[in-house]
Amino acid sequence: MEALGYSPLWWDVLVPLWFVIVALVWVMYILTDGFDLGVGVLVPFMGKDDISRRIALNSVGPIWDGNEVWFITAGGAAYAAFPEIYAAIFGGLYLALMLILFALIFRAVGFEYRSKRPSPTWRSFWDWAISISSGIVALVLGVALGNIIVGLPFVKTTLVDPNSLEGFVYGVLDSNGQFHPYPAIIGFLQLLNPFFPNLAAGIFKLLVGITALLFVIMHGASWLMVKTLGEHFERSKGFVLKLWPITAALWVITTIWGFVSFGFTHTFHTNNPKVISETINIDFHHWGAVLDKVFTYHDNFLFQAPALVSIIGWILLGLGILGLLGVFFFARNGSAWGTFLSSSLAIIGILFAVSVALFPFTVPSIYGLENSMTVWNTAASENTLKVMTIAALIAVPLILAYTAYIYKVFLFKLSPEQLKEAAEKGQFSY
Amino acid sequence: MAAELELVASLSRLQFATTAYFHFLFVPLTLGISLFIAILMTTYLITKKQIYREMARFWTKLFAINFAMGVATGITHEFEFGTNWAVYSRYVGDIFGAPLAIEALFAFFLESSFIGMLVFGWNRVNDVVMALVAWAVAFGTNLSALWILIANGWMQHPVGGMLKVGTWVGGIRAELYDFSQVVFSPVADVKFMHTMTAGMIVAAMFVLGISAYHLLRKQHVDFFKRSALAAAIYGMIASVSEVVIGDIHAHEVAKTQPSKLAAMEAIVDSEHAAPILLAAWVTQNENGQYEYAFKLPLPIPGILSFLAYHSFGAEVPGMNDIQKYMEQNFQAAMQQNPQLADIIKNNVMLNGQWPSFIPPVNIVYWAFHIMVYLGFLFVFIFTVAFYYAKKGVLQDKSWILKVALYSIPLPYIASLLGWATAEVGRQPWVVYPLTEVKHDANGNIIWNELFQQIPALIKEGDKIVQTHIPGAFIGLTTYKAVTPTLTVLEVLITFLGFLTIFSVLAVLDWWLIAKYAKKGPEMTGEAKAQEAY
Repeated sequence: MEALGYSPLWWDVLVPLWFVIVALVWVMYILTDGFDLGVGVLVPFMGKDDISRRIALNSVGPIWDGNEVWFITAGGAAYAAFPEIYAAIFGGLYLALMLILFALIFRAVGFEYRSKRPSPTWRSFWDWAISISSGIVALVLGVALGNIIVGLPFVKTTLVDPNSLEGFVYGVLDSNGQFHPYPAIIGFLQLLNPFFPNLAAGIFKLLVGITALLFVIMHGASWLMVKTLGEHFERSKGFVLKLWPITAALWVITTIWGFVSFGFTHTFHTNNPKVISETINIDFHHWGAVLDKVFTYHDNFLFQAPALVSIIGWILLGLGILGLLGVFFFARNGSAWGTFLSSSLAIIGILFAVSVALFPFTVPSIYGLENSMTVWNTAASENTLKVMTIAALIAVPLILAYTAYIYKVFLFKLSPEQLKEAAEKGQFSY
Repeated sequence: MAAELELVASLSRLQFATTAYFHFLFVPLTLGISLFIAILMTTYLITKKQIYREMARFWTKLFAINFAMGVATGITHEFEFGTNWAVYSRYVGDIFGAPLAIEALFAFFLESSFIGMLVFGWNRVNDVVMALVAWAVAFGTNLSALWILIANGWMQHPVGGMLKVGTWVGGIRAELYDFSQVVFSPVADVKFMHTMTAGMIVAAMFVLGISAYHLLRKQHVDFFKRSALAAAIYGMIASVSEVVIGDIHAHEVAKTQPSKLAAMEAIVDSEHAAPILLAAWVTQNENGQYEYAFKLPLPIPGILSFLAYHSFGAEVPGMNDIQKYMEQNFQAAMQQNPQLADIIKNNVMLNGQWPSFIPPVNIVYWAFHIMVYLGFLFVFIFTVAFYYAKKGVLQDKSWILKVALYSIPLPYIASLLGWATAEVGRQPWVVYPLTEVKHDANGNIIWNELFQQIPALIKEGDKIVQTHIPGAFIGLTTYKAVTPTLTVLEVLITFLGFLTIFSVLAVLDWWLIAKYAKKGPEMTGEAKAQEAY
């Protein structure tokens, strides 16, 4: 074994570490691209005049591209660290991901092309293209999160055929234990079906989508507060304050409902620690047994998750609520940075709390624990995780450093006067 | 079900090829011109001549329009492996995913973060910072290409991996064994050099052609004379290097992918002292044997043997032998490892039959040969342009200016043909079995040792056995790699969607590039004064 560089101990540590890293990259994506998606949605609502819309576009102009790379990185990190999840999710939810990709394509070229012609029809077309496509990305990602929380119809093919190359596949498991793929686009429609897997779960996952969309728009508006002055600042502040009551209400409803009703055991409603630990301990080694004792499972009202993890979860949830309240109070007092940072805190808090609640599950299956994806049965090998850990340790600090520098260079306030002045100085703007 | 899945796989291949081709209409210019801009900014800082800064700014504007499409088409790819090739992704994701993730972390982040600054930063930060930003973008784009080609190189020649059977949740997958072998794979590294140089040629022809447009109209003569000279030097270095690098690349292919070499050079039967065919067309007779419809050999024997195996007498493998001996090698591997025989039945055989191990010959042959002929044309164009530009008379030689202008699409075409050679030539494999063509002292191919050995961990009962098995077992055919739950309708919708959207956007993109290219630079007072001087 030693010759092939396989020591179970390392793997047991690296797998949860990579769960945290992949979660972190996804959170970074929602945090950064989240506000430029929100700004994108708001472009046509910033005003009917070209200059107001240009202010919205230029508030994210130099940085949206870098923000979007978090999405690519999230995909890449999932591919390298949890190849089974990458293959199952993107292969299974084919049309949903394609919808996101088409929307991102429209957004990317919209930003670049809009300013290239003065025609109002041309510009208005791209404003709406950017707005709608930004909204679609946020909505679909939100619905996807909702679906993951309630569980997705995945089947593990190796349970039937040990030589199967198919891994986890998306489809129908009938009462005889036979698997059938969904015909054509039915699989995609199931994601949006309010009656699937049952009415409560169906409505819940759609509510998560709507909450995500509204929150992202509010997050974008808070970024606009940071970047604007005068009437545009007031308008942005107005967006935040108008969106806050409904967003906060939905946030509270989905959070409580999600953690009470679903958690990772959702349809099984089993809190039997033995069942759970047998399922997650697939190929678990001696050191894993020690970990297992630390992470004792017990009946927890909110998380139904390991005790140690649940404390972290509570703290994260608390931070999320603090952020949510902060958005309202800072916006009312006109503190732009306070609003934006609170909004960011709320996103970090809630998304990490969800990740912690899911752990060690990643994508639960409605067909039972044995068909569910956990961190253990989807992770890459020890060699790959070691290489990736070294790469991440070097790259992430660098990325954060130059991203911070670029944000700093472009952290000036935008106004009609500023845009005019910039043009005179030969500076580029959209 | 099997027939539908084959149709899904064909459509998925078509979709992947389409999106990859659109992506690669924008990538090579990005690779080449980012470096060009960085060199211009550095020249400006050294010479203090304002005109180089104006040149950098002008070419950056065109670069930015191009870059938007590069990103838009590129995002698709990071996910398309999972969407259409889920079986492939989970089977090799442990190895293939790492270079993709590292590409995002180290390279794509760098270029995408700094491209915003390269466009928006002028007159906001000082010029030394802008030069550094230009270098960061150039470094990022080319590093990005390196990691992508390491991933691609691994599909062509899967070194550094091992096979794990039944030790996981059940099931089989390839796992990383030695990362340095993956990164320093000679196939991957020469691919990178080849692609990077191709990008330089695309950019050089782009700059030379647009400069020629303005010189033909006597506009901004000094500005575009300098641009043309810079592009001619850049293009000449790149195109001459490309001939050398291309040759090394072909040698690596000959060693590791005999079926691709046979298709590239249209070698029907194995031959000692093989000549090069200047033109050929290959058909199959009713027994499935390959034969020539016609061929036009260069009347010097042994050139191909020398290029492929660095020996004038060496035997070059032909298609008919490759099919025969591949089947024999697979059968031998199955007999030696009966407990693993099902893997080959699952991953390689199609409906219990051996598939054809030969790619579509005529496509690969002509893609490769037109690319090579274009490569020599580029050397000629850049050399002539350089000669006249150095003498300072390029603006008066309208014939070479017209040639340069109308040649702008040619390096793009050559790049796309290169990818067709590499990827159509890889078929029927998505992961080529680990192969090495070896010759004995008399220059004969040792046919029963086609496959290299790979490490493996196999679960037998309760024990996990560590062993070595033939590289045959890591091979995976394209038709077995497709997402099992996809339907024809779904792939058809997205394929037509990509085709339509990318076509419209590409036309729009080039229309915008052409508009801004024709407009020429808007120069500041200082630069105008210099140009007048």
